[in-house]
Amino acid sequence: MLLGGKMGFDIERLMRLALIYVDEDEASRLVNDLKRIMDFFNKINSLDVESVDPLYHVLDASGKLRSDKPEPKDTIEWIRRHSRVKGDMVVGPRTIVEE
Amino acid sequence: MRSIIGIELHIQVNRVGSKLFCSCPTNYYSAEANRNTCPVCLGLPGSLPVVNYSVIEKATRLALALSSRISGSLIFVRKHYFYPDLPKNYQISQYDRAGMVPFASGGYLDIGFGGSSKRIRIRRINIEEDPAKISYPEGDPLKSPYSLIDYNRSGMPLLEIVTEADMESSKEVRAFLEKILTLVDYLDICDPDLEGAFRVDANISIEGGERVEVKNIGSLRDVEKAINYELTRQRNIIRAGGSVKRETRHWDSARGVTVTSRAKEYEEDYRYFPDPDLPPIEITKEFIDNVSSNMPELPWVRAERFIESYGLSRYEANVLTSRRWLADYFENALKYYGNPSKLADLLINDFLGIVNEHGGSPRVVKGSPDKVGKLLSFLDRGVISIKILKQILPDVVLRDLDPEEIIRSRGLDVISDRSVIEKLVDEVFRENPKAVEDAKKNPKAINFLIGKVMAKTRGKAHPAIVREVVARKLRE
Amino acid sequence: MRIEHIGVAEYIENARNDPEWVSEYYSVLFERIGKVEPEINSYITLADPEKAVKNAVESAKRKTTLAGLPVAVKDNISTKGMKTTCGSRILSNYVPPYDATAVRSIKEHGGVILGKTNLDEFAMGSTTETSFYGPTRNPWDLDRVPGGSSGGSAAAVAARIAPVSLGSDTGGSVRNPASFTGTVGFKPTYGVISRYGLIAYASSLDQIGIIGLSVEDIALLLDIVSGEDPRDSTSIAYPSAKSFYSSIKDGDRYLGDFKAVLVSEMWRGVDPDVNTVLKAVIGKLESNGLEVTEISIPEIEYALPTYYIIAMAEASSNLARYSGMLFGISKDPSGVDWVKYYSRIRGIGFGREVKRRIILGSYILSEGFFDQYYLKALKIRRLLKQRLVKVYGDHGFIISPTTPITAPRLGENIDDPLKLYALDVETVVANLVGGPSISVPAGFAGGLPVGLQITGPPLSDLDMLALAYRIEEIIGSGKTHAPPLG
Repeated sequence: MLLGGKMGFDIERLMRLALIYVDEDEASRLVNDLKRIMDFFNKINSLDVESVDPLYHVLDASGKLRSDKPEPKDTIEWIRRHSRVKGDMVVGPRTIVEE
Repeated sequence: MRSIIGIELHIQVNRVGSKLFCSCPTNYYSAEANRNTCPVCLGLPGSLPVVNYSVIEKATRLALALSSRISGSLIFVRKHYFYPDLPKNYQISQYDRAGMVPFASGGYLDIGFGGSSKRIRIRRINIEEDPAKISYPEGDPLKSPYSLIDYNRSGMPLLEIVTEADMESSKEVRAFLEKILTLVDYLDICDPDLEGAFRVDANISIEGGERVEVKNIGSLRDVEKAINYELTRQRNIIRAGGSVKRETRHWDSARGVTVTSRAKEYEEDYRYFPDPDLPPIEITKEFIDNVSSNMPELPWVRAERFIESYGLSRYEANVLTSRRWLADYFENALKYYGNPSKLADLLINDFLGIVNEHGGSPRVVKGSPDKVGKLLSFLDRGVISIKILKQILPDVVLRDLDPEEIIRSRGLDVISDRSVIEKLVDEVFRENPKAVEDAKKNPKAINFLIGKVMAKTRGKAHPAIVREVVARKLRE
Repeated sequence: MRIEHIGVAEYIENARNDPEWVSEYYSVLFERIGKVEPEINSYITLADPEKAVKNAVESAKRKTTLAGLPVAVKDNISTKGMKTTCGSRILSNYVPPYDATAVRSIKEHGGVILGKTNLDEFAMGSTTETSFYGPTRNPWDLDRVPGGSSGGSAAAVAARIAPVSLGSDTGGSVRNPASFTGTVGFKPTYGVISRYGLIAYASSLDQIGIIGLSVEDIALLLDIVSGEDPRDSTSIAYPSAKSFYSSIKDGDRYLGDFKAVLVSEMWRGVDPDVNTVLKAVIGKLESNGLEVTEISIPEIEYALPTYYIIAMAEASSNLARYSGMLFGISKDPSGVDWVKYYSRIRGIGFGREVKRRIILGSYILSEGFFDQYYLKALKIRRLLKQRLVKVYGDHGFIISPTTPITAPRLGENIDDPLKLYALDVETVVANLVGGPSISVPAGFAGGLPVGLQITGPPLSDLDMLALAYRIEEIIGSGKTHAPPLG
């Protein structure tokens, strides 16, 4: 479902990008919301910041390095209690995607 | 039709104590499934990564050895894609784009090939985390109703080495890989013989044609096979008048073929951005200088030294320096046995044979180098024959038995080896022609000759055998 | 015993003198929770009363720093063995195997986790209406929202069913509900409290904050939960020899030692009644010696869209891990491919607002939009930081309303995302710049609390708390007014 217009949203692609399923009712409402929010975001287009560097980290402090000391932790009991397991392996979906 | 090949090589940094972003140990190989995990490498909500210093140190070593330019700032990014082996559904990696930078770029590795040398250029080196290990109840993902995940590997440090498309045959690729694997072994980055120590993706094309990426190649043998298969496949298409399609294929090791990754309408958009949990870390000149001054001897430097100092052939030097432990073993044994050439011969032909029969890992080698040295001295001194040496060697190498002990307990110290005795008798006959003539006439004079042989072995030769051999030789 | 006026300071004093008092306090507290909580819905999970009292009494006997102080913790902060849902269906069964560093500090100092408080799902909202566990109500008017996203943490303190609480503040989520409920809400400089265990919404903006009845109470708890954490690369050690508590108590600081500035853009569109209350308070502060100037910062108009672009982009990444595999809700994945499986779990598990933000965030980060939105927002973020740090240097702390209005009615904003986002217009600046910000109760408009916000440059936390403490001395603290409940 590709919605036209200047700020068109290909909702199928967005659903795949974020891996979130939304049904058709929700999708039309969602697209409407997204358009309005993008209009609100477009406000930043009117500010010229060409010469400014992006700010990735708010504080100038340098990152940390950890000393290479192994500390074994065993979370298998927690995994057994909280995850779907078969023989202590966590069960996941199929990796072959049917088109 | 010239072939053009570039590779992306993932080396697992298994020679550090802990994972890339958490303190879980890296020696998970023998651990049972999901025993080697914590909130960080499981990607549990609220957990945060903290960078392992040693990994940065080792990546710096690799960059220095390959003459790559190390970026002044260590910046980790998030690479987004969903997959069941990726606990956070993004991988912490590095990238080249505004605000991001690879760990190192440029550089090269010269490979010796067909008697000449060829330069393979490096495009970049990145540090990233390994995903979890995925397996299937039926073995084959197509036939399996679900997947099984073991997170023990999740968060292991990886070094990604991307080359330019400078290689032209599977043999060249193999030569490059062998040299890199030897290098990372020497730099104490990776034990290349451990399971999952490296993975290769190869970009393969025939000049003028489209590029095909072959993913998921896990061994040196498979690298050659996969590339040859893919080159043949592409040539056949071109010969038949077709054109190669640009695509990603997977190497199916079991069937020995590359298969197309199902035509996907969806093209992955990785949405890279700098990881806000990991502020940049400055890589200072002091740090690099410090790593540089503590670099281990590089394998190709060591090989040259072996040729010059020990008079080994290039072949011998290359084999002995192909793994650091082997070269160390050689040099340690030399302290106890002074003939490098004989030692090299034994290590290459007999010792490595035993090791390879038992999986090829240095962990099977229990016997210390001095014991191998001792064995060779025994051989030189005629204490044992080469036959007996070869017979004893596995017990010395694999079980750390003392050669002297073995010889004594098995009565091998008495020289009962006919070929040795025959040699000695011949020697004695040559040295005493007069006594030989005497003994032929006077049977009692035979004792003189026997005594000479016994003296030569300091009494260790088996007397009855000596008597029998001497008597026979006198009749001849 | 009446517990309405017992804050952190009073609790600790009583508890350390008399451990028996602790069990009496707890029984009154749980009795009050039993009466009030059904109306407010401020907790998602409550501690077992018997265990809590036992721990607290023992802790008081051992004369620990917090002496068994009960602390309510927002349900996006990890607690070992205690369900941590983020107000979401997708984590409705999630029990963390570890404590957040802040929680661990509280426990190590003898505090007791009283319960996990309600919030907007994954802290995405400003009203606590997007929670899967139903909305929290404002103790001052049960038809109104308590603000958000730390609505449960603020409502519990306001309703006197927790003496103090931890919240999280990504764009105002501690200060906004503090303002709507007549409590004090403090967001420190980014990095002062470790984020380890705080379930991420937008990592570069998220910061754990504290909600209490007085500035003094905030400082007391801040001394416990702040500090550099080897588990959080973005955490910092606050550069001060003295504790926050003893610094604010320093009798040498007068209102006249501080400077403050009103930014005209932050007073536009403010409800007239809120404006009147706050201007009166500011007048009173001026007459007590505070130097107040007024300036204009036109770029501040860009703060709100800039904030939401960054927050959504980071959220889309942080929330990728919820896919029904290792934790959270799941279904039998047999026979289902991962694209379908993840899409379904995420479709069921996330609420509408969270879906909006993840989808839009993914879109903003995708090829072709990254430069235009995400990178541009980061440039504006730098510009704003440069502008504001200069303003702080020249004119002192920025004083503003915390929210442009008093607490809205339930359902009033929930269906219109833009109306919802507009509630954050005053608060997002502090998160973009990384500096501290506090909301203190400044009076009432139409019977509803009004908050005064102070915002400062990074690492001005100590001075800011000192100023807030002086202001509180003049206009009275939240402790003096309790909502008519129970």
